[in-house]
Amino acid sequence: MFKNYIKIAWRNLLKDKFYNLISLLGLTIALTIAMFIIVWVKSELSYNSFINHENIFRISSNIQSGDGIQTWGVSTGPVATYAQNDIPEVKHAVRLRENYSYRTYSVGDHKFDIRGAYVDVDFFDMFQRKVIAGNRDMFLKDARSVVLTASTAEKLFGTTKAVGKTIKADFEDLFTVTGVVNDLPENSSVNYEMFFSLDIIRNTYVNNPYWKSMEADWGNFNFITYVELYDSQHHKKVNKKLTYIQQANDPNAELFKSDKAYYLQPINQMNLYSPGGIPQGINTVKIFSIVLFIILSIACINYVNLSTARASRRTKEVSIRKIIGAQKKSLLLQFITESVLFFSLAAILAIVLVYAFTPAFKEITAKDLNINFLDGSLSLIFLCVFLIIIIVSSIYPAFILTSFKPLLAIKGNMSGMSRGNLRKLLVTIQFVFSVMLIIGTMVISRQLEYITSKNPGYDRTQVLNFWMSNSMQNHAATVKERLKNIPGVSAVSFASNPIINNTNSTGDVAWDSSREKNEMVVTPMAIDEDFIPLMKMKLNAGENFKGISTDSTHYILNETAVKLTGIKNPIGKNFELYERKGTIIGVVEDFNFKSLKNDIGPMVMYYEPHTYRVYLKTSEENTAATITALENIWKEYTPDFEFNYSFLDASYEKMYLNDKRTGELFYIFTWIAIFVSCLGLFGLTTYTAQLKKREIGIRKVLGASVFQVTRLLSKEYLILILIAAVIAIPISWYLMQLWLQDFAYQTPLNWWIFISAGIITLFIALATVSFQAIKAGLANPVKNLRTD
Amino acid sequence: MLLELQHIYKWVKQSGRNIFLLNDVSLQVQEGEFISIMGPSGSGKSTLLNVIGMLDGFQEGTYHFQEQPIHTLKEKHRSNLYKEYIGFVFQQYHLIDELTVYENIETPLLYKKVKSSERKALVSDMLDRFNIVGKKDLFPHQLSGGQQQLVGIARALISKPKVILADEPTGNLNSKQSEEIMQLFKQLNEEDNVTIIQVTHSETNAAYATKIINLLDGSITK
Repeated sequence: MFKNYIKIAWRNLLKDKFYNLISLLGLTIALTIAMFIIVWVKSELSYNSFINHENIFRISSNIQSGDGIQTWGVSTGPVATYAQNDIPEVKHAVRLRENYSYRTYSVGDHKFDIRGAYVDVDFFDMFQRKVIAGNRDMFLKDARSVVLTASTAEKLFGTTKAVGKTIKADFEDLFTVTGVVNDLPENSSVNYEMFFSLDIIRNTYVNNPYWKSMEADWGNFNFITYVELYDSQHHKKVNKKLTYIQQANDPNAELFKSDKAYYLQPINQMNLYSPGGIPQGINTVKIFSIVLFIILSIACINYVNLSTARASRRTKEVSIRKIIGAQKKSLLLQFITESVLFFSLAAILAIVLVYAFTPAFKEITAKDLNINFLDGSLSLIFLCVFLIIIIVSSIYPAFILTSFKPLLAIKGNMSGMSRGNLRKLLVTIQFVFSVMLIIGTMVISRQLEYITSKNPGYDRTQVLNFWMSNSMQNHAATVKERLKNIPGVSAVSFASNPIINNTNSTGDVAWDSSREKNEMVVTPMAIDEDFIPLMKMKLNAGENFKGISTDSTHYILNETAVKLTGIKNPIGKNFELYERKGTIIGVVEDFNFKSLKNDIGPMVMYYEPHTYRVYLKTSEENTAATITALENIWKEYTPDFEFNYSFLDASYEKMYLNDKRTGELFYIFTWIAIFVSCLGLFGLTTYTAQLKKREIGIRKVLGASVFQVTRLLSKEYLILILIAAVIAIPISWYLMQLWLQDFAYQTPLNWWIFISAGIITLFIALATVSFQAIKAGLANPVKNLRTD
Repeated sequence: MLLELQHIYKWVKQSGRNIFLLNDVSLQVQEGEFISIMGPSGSGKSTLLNVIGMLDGFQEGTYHFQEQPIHTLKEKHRSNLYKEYIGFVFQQYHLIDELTVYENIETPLLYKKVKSSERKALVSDMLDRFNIVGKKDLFPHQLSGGQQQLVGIARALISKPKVILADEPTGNLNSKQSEEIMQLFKQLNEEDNVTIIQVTHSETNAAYATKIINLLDGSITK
């Protein structure tokens, strides 16, 4: 019997080539996209998913800032020490700090780029690393020890048996490998290749006049602190204890939120939520899940519409089968078998397409998303999705097909199908989805356009910047003069940080009224007298640094800092940074020194003539020659190192690369979804046109024009699109609002976006429909009437 | 008695008035009879046949098939009955286009869950008997009308029905083909004792029957 079902299904598939091809094409495309989205979403959601990730948290710090709270993903050194020693619920507490001290590593003559981090040695236990070489007790036993991951060991030494081998950092500092562990997953926040001992940092405290030791330094937020609890339920308790410890020990205790100094963030939320637990990327994930749902729905709707529309063609077969003895059950089974066969065919084609497009997908997402159909959990998801869509889209048509009264066929009445209303509903749903997707694409692209083109408050065109090397910095004054003399360089300035994304912070500030008022965490930035003019920043009050020795006690605040401190007429007022008393000499207009996803925070600029980062304003002509000249100077001082530089414009774009990629992905998915929708619509109108062949023929004989015939066939869709637009607009307004929440600066949701999305849908639908309609209208009526 | 209709009324409402399709029809059919139903277009011939075949219902009257009161039976029970005892033959043959001759004949057996080996034997017998072995792998559209109707009859006979209901079985056939089909019916009736009830326009065909019923405006005349 089953063999029989398959045979019939196969013959039917071949018989109705046109419709089946349309259905198959739509379904295959939809399944392909669905698999890609599932893989993408799964990868986003599986970030930091170590076996024991439920019990691991990152400690974020809740810091008072003016009247509000800022939550930072970093914490001070003592937190981990106290957590480990004084809180019994904590199994491990580990600090991590990325190692930026070295530019390059070498083994013999070979140079390597390696991502390194300082860690507490318990790191390897918390993240359950397997010891591949070395003795776990000897890992990071002193400041000269390092631990490598297996693939790094392979890369450096060609073997994982690397214990005892040495690596040179920046051609001077020698490190010895004391262990090799298995690689950390790429999709995680601890994906480093080489691990250094925290002793290196500890040693810098030896002659520190202010903080006695790393374990007592409550002032510098240098570490990402991870804690593993015995029981994840205890995170509130642990937080309370940590707050208590902090309040008791931290000399700047009042800096923190007094009732809840910390926030324990589950580590698998680190990529999709802010350090304070506010949704960030998760909204994008949700929106993509919605797109996934939409695309699959569209494909199912196509299938249901086309198969029920054509059901009348099978009235006869079903009736005869019933008369010669078929039970409803066996007919249902027959049609479901047909659907299953059809969907399986689409799935197989989709798998082929997935393999074919994986490289392109990887490029767009810039993620190493390998789609492995043998991966159990992934194939399980695919299978579930597959089963759901089969059930959804096969049961209804099967019931429709089997529900005719057998007499219909005998009476020769084949047009007993009037399921038009459901079909209209489904088509409307498709239009709703189309309008939503178009609105989504428009808003997302406008927002990306907005943030990349928004004036951040400084001029970033043609500004080249790089970190100076130590030897260069020792001759900073000379270097500055030499750089200025390079043809094409119009201005040179030194500053302490990147201006695009300055994540520096300190609470070490004071002003006249600060003892009564709340404390404030500011972003400090050391600059020279040329920085503000070079960046074309605006001073709202006061003046710039003059480059004289008294500037060392002068401060320039941004507007936000002035507002938060509450200082009236700030020029000339007292201000203190890092315990250094001075006066405010200027107020700079607020500019974005972080991603536009963040509000502008308080910033204090202080004077330091020769700090590390160089900013050069170059002319547009002959940039290449300018760079060569720069490189020559660099090589004079630092022959061993590559010259690495970047343009602010490029770095700025890079900061939004992820968002841009998301936007592109959304864009692609949207148009594919709309294309699949159109396929269905095309099939449906082709079918309607065929059904109405006779009516059209008669109308034409009676004198109807092509236009009138076209209108006859398209009119119904116009109304459906209007209804769809009314439904889609509020939903997409809500969803887009949700997505925009990720950004502190948002493009306005103009009414015309929604209207034009409706109009675009209308045009696409009309173009699809009218092809068939016009064809029907142009056809010779006599021929149609005769063949009927 | 194979079946008995008593005072059957069937009507449809059209613009508020009842139009009678069957008007007080009573009919008795014995096993082994060969009956022709005649009458002009719209006289209710096909409706009567459909009522007998349990494909259509009626508003008033009683219908007993092998002593079972059909008018009181549930739909499912009724369809089991007709599947068991009745074979249908249509003017338009109504073969399944997607199936070959062999498969068309085999399908009723599939629905009766007959075992594969037995099915093969039964279908082969039928093909032999109707002389269409050579055509078994052809699809309906590859056959002439007469051949299609042969397959239709073969399909109706495969499940060994007690009665065959034929609605103008030769309506689409030329006279030579018609005669062959009628000869076949006669043979089935006489040799296999299959009861046959056919609707026909043709006097010649009607004459094959042992009994002729004339219908006019839903009533049996005579």
